[in-house]
Amino acid sequence: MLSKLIKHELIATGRIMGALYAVVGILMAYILGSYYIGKGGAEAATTGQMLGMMVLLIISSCSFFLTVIVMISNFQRSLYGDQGYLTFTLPVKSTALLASKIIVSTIWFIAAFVCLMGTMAIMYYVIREDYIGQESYAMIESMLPLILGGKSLATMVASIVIYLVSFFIRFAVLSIEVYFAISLANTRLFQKRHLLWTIVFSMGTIYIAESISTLISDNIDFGLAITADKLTFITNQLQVGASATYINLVTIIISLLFGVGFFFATHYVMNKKVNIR
Amino acid sequence: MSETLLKVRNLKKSYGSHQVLNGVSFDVPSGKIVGLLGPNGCGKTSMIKSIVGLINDYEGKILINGKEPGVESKAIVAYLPEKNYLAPWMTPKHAISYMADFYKNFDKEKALNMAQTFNLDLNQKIKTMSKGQQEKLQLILVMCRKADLYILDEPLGGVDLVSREFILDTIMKNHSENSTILLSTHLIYDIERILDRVLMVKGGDLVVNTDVEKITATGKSVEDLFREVFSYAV
Repeated sequence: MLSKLIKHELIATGRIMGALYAVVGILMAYILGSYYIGKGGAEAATTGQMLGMMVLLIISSCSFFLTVIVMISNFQRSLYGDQGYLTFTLPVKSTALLASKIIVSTIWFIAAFVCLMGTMAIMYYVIREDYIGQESYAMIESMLPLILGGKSLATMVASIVIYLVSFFIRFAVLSIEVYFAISLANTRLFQKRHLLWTIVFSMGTIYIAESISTLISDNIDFGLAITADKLTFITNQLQVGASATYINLVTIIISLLFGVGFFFATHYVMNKKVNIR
Repeated sequence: MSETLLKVRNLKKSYGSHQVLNGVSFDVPSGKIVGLLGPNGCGKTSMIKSIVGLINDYEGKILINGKEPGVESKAIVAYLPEKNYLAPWMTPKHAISYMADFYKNFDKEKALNMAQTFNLDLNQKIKTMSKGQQEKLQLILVMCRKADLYILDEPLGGVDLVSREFILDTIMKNHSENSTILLSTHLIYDIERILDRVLMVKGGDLVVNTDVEKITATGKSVEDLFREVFSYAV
């Protein structure tokens, strides 16, 4: 049933998010296509490419914000609005219902992330100094060896995977925190002004979770040091060498714990405290 | 299957300090058409929402085929709420696929045929459909399930006489054999002829729980009894 819930959740949210990324795809194809076709001609980016790039940059920058808006409105409407009469009478476990929404919002967050990274890559490799300016381009060129230099391919891949996984965990936990806030805002006491309370509770929940996470991770050193040819577990940041990059695992673990906690808290509020109007 | 399909014991529900159900108890036997009657605001919808699993913070016990409201009971209960519960961007075709995906007892072919019979455009967005068309679609989605218990909350409210006849006809022709129907309404005259049993709720209390045969044996109609019971109702 989870796969069916995910399928229908993707259909419901995909109308807006899918259209957005279709535009992104067309723009990227246009910029890349016109760049490689016109490569033999003028070196400078054309007005069309520059305009396309600007739109792409705007969409990419707004995609995270749009994901949050779509995520909140879909959760509110499909569970606590009139559509809740259908959703809550489906023969599915409410944990599956919640899980499908978290998985789909994480997918859209990942899409927004990929969209932003793709835009950056196009800016860097295609438009280059025409768009970002010669000085900025030279600065990025000089910085790259400091970040990437001297590390083996295996270490690079492993650290990129760890970074991405930690990003995706953060996206999933962010979704759960917002869903918890929406559910709380739909309890009887706050139901009349649920939108206002959703904003208040979302900000409060994220702030509290971040503060606790920062407090703990600042006082416990446990992470991975990425050096030239290996990843090493360390328990003291002083062990991190000058050339190494540090990944804080405490933040990731706390994120996961918050995720589990908020998942069950949301499930409890959804089942025991919210009456569908 | 147990003889009593739905068992409700001492059901209480309040919204803050406002008590809407004061400890209601009743049984609904299998294969009967039961009218849940009472004026607006008497607690009918809260009772139904508790049975279908939309309200969970009630006191008392509800058993559907021996099971508390949950995944198993939802699989055998077909519920038609008062509201339009379909997303406005959906089309009848999508809504039918949605139901077929989640309910094993949903007859997709029958639903598609009924939609055509009722002149519904399968590709028309629900937000552009008239209220009557939306109600027809929801009725199709509910009646194309081979459910054990159909719970229909005010299916006749807000529609004209011809539509009422049409709705009742659809319900009677399409509910699965040996199934039970719990039909909530305040429009007694229209449904009297199809009922086997009536439950009347007044101010959160169950004041009448009897067979229609017993009422008619006294020379009264269900509507007469309803008027008698609710003449004091607000």
